[in-house]
Amino acid sequence: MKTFEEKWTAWLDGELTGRELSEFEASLPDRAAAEAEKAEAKKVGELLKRELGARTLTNEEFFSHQLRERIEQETGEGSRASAVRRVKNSSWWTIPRLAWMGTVSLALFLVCTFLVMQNEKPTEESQYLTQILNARVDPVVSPNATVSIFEVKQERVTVLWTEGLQSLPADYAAK
Amino acid sequence: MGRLSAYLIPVVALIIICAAPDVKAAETVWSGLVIAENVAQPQRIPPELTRIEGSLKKFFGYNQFQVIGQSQKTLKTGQEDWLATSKFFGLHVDARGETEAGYVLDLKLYKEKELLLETDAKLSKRSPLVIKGPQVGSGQLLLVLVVQ
Amino acid sequence: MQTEATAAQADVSELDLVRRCQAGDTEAFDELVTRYRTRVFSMIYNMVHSEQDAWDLAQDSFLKAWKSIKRFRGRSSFYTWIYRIVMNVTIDWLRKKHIKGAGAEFDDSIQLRQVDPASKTVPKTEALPYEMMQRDEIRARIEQAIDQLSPEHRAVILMKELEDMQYHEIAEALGCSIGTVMSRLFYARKKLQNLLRDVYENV
Repeated sequence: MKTFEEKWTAWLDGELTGRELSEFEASLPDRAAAEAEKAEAKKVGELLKRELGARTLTNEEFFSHQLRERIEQETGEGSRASAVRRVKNSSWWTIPRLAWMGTVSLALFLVCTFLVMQNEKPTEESQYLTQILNARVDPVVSPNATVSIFEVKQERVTVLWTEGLQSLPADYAAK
Repeated sequence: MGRLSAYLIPVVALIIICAAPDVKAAETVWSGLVIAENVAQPQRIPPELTRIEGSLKKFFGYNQFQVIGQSQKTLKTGQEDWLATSKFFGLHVDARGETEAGYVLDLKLYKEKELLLETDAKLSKRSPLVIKGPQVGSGQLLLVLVVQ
Repeated sequence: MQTEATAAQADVSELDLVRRCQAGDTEAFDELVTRYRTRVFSMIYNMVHSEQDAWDLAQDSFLKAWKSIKRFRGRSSFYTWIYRIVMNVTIDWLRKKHIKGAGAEFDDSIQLRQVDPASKTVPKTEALPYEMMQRDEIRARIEQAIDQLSPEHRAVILMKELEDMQYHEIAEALGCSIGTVMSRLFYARKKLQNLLRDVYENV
């Protein structure tokens, strides 16, 4: 049995039909006033639809990218957790065998380390410092910003120095 | 038989390791979004920034550097990708080319949906690029890129 | 306008995407996110009125959807299923923020026995000439009015008026009965009528 509120809502949305509709309309004390109320409710709906509408998700690709990273993070943590849960039982590995294998592995490790270190080449370094070809700030976002370039030759660091970018609150330091 | 295999397996492994060709690891670009600020008790500098710690402190005058977003990626010419990102910032890269000297990159720093800064750079191997971003609270946003 | 054939094809392809997600295919999930991210964000924004919070809640909703995708049985549309997650996340967040209306919150247990449909229970606010109202002022008034609804009433009015969802879809998204949806719509509409009369009468 529908309550009055349920019937009213259904009537307003045009969901009442047949006998239910005629009975409800007959029960209204002031049909004209009810129709006026119905029209007002429809105006509210139209107002909401028109003024609220669809909010644009700006930078939607970044949204998806950020979500993908979160999923990857969660998936990675899940795999590690299930790997920890796996327990293997082996009866072949007795304590003497483990001790023997441990000693042999350590000896091998030391030999390989010696050999690899002999083969290792020093890390390649480019003779060139990083260069800034050009740089620009959005003049609409930061109308007073300037850009300069500095090079610290000894430490091979190139710095692109900006001034005049809009300061932001500390919340923006969130990870 | 058990004792024989205990000897044989390590020996075979040693032969394989020594005979293996010298394989050069693919180069990656490490990028970080860093908040630099002055604090009473600074935390240790992140390992990725150790090498340029002196330059950072001298240039920017801060005693603490915290990484709020980072990534390590192999760049392929012609591909676009997001590098370091944090909750509000994102560093976008368009890899334009690669030479012996390094990578030619178009970098864009976004604050949410706004483009703050764009730069074309030739990022050389072992020559880090540091970009000074906006002031954030009492600190400073820095972007750091290093070819590793 | 989509024909029945193309709508059916879209449903099949969506089901296919969901199956792939259930097998762990993140690219398939990426495709679903692309289809729904704007609608989800927009819905949440209209509930919480903060872009940053809406962004975070949308992310949380999709992440939750990914984690529970294996539980989706296909009994409802994927769209309704994800809305359920969105509503749970958003309403929980609003409750935690203790967002309450300026007046008494609507209590579903209190039922008016008889309401004169033409009655105006709240005095009309002073009318402002529409010519003086800027678009953002109208929007601000609407958002203020919606803020005075409880999270559950907010959800039903937005899902009905903005998303054109059917009663049973709203009921499924909110985990309540169809009767409760209709009852909440009744009170939410009444309250918004009273709060926004000067706005919609002058448009």
